[in-house]
Amino acid sequence: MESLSRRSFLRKIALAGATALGPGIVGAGQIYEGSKIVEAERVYRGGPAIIVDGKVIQPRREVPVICETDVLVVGGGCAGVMSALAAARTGAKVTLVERYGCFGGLWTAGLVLIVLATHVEADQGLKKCVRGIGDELLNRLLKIKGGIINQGPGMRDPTSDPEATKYVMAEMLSEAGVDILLNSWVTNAVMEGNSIEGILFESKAGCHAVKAKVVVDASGDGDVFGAAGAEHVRHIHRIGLVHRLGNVDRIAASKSGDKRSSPNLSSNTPLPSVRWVNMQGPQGDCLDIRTLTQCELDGRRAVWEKLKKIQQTPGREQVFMLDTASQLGIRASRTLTGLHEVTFDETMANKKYADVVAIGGAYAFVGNRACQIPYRALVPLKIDNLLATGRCVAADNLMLNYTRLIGPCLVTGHAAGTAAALAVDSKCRPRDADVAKLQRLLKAQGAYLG
Amino acid sequence: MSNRIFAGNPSSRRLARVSALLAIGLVAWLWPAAWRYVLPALSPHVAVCSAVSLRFASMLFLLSAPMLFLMILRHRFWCRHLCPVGLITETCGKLRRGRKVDDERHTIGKHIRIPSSTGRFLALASLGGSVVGYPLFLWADPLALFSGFCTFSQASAVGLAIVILISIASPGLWCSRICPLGGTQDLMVRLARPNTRGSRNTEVSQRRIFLAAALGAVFSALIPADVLARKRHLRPPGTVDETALKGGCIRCGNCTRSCPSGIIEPSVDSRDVAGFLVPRLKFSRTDYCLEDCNRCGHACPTGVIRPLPLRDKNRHVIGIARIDLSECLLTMDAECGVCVPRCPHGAIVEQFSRQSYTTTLKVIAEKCNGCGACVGICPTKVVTVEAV
Ligand SMILES: Cc1cc2nc3c(=O)[nH]c(=O)nc-3n(C[C@H](O)[C@H](O)[C@H](O)COP(=O)(O)OP(=O)(O)OC[C@H]3O[C@@H](n4cnc5c(N)ncnc54)[C@H](O)[C@@H]3O)c2cc1C
Repeated sequence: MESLSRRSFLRKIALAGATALGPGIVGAGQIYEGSKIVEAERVYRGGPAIIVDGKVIQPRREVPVICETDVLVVGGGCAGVMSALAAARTGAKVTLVERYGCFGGLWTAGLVLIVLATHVEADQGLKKCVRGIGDELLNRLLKIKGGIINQGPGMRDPTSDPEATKYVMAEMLSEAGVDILLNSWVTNAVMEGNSIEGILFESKAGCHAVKAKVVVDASGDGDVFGAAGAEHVRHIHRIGLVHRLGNVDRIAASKSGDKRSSPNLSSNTPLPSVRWVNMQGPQGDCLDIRTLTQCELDGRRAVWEKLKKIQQTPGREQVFMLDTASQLGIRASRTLTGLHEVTFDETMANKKYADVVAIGGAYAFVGNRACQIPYRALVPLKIDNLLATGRCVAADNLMLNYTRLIGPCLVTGHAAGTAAALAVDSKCRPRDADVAKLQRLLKAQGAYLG
Repeated sequence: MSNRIFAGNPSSRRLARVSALLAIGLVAWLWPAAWRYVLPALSPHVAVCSAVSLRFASMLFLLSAPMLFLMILRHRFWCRHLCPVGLITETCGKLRRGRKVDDERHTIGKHIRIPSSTGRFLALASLGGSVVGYPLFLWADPLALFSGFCTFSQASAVGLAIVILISIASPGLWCSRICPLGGTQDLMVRLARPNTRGSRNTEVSQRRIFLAAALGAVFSALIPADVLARKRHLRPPGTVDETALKGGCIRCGNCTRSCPSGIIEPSVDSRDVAGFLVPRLKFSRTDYCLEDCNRCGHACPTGVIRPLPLRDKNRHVIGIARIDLSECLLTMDAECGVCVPRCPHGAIVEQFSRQSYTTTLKVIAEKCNGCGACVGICPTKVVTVEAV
């Protein structure tokens, strides 16, 4: 293990102590013993917005800083959770801000479930590329009944249960001493020149700021680097709404007709009799609120129409709708314009990068190859103290269909977190971080770098 | 009758030849781009017949001028001192021990006698064929054969291999009697300097010249059109029609060597004998006809692959992409659709149906030029490019 500074070492010990007191100790809210009327703090918004010359004007005001931290991770999807865990384990003080009430993002709330691009086929069977914290998570799911299937030696495409995944993620974050803010929607960046100093988020408690030394944008949509003014690319991609069907084991095989004409009941999940059904959906601008609304409404209606057809098929009357995803399936919206872009051509040429920090496994359109992702794909061109991770890392419009897979997101998540903590520890900008040291740290944390 | 090709001081000739070969190697090493196309373009035989047959001459045509002058000034100097095929045949001839180098034979085996005017006949027949658009024996040009051999594709080496066999069986026979480039020289000298000694040696009557050319023309015109016109393979961008291609292509392999993607290969297909060794396209996982490349057209010494400017080359339709939707992942609601961003011409689009809320793919025929980018990336291998 790489030696860390005395300061971060001491902090690690302190955090270990904190976790010993039990999860939830960091930044916990107050718990009351009964319902009552209280005089709570007013939601501070600096007063209402006003009309000036027919235009709606926000009040100019000071925003309260809810906390100051070393590493701030925005977004609690698979990449964000990995980042937060990695940064905390490397010794940084970490805050994780998530707009919804659970962790896992598209993987869990988006009901995607199947973790792709984790292995490559080698001579002696499957070789694991996604290792380190991501693999630790998958293995912890294995300990929960109905937590995950297809996980373990000789198996690929692990498929996890969304609820188990949300739970295990929260447990791991608490154990690592990560300060968590849920139901907090990040709306803006706090800048000083070219350097990001923190973010603003909206919540029931109004607008707050979090100040941080390094910010990791794991929002999937690049909300933070978009707000910070970092150069990026906007994408139009398919927006789908995934769902699960129950009672699928009650399908009377003899009665269901021709296989081809019958509706697609997609793939298995850890729950017996429950199947996962993907949806491609229309191409749309994932940052346009009208589009998103339309996709939610149309997608849900379409899923119910399909269900009706299934239920009208002889032998399938018992099939029911278990749930539709509570989070719309956004495939791509913004990708960072990084110091380096992951491109299809370089990937197919098996390009090796001196600053490789993540390696994903085989996937259909890239074939059976371990795909390297360089550190520079996480680093913005100009904005300082900011890293991107997950599905918004720098990739061309072909390779983003690879970097957005859960397997690659797990490893880029891990890399970004460790890099952020290293930058804080070495008191440098992430772009100036010692990549060799970063790689040693990642390897010590179990990551596979080829 | 002494066009004893290998007469004269053999050692000085050998020196010249080896130097010529080394020069080719040096050029190839120093200037790889030139190496890809210069060699067959040097032949006036190829240049003239191609220009006549296609009614078109590219810049490469000019490359044959120096050789033309040399041929007229020093009859058969090229053959004796410079020709790489000459060096090969001479060396092969020596393989037969007990035979003097200049002891040339004029038969293959014991019985098949090769008339001394064969080369001239081949050259004339090609020229005659060119007039009707089908230069019969252009592929037998020695520079085309040598260049084809240099493509390092086994099939392309066939031509040179036959020349080698002939030369082992009957040393000197190829160069003195069969080689159409040699024949061209004989004719040139006669035309340009009717009263020189060389010309007397290569006496051909006007009547016979006319006859050979007419025979070539008639024969070419008689080749069943549908056999030639049937298109079974995808051809490089900018290629002329099938008939002109099969007739005019000298199988030199320039296009194969010039292609940075490596997708042009000499065709070997028992059902397309007329198109033997004619270039065809074969896409791979990553390799397709690049939108910023038109090298094959500029490397072709004959012009059967036209030297189109980039814009026009990209508009030339190689074929059209077809997607078998029954096996298409996206159509089956799986994560895919990568052929859409892969297409450099925006010719593949997603079609979303509000009704069924499903997505499928469509090829826009007007935009697709069959470059094949989509073929390799398809995980289920259901995209193909079909000839049109
Ligand atoms: C329909 C569909 C099917 C897919 N199928 C597969 C598959 O089979 N296998 C596979 O491996 N991958 C699949 N993917 C891709 C994969 O699921 C996602 O790309 C991956 O989970 C992205 O992870 P992430 O952490 O980068 O982003 P996300 O999961 O999007 O996480 C981002 C997190 O940030 C939060 N957030 C966003 N904005 C803000 C904000 N402003 N403030 C605070 N929090 C914010 C979100 O709530 C979310 O929790 C699929 C994707 C879709 C849409």
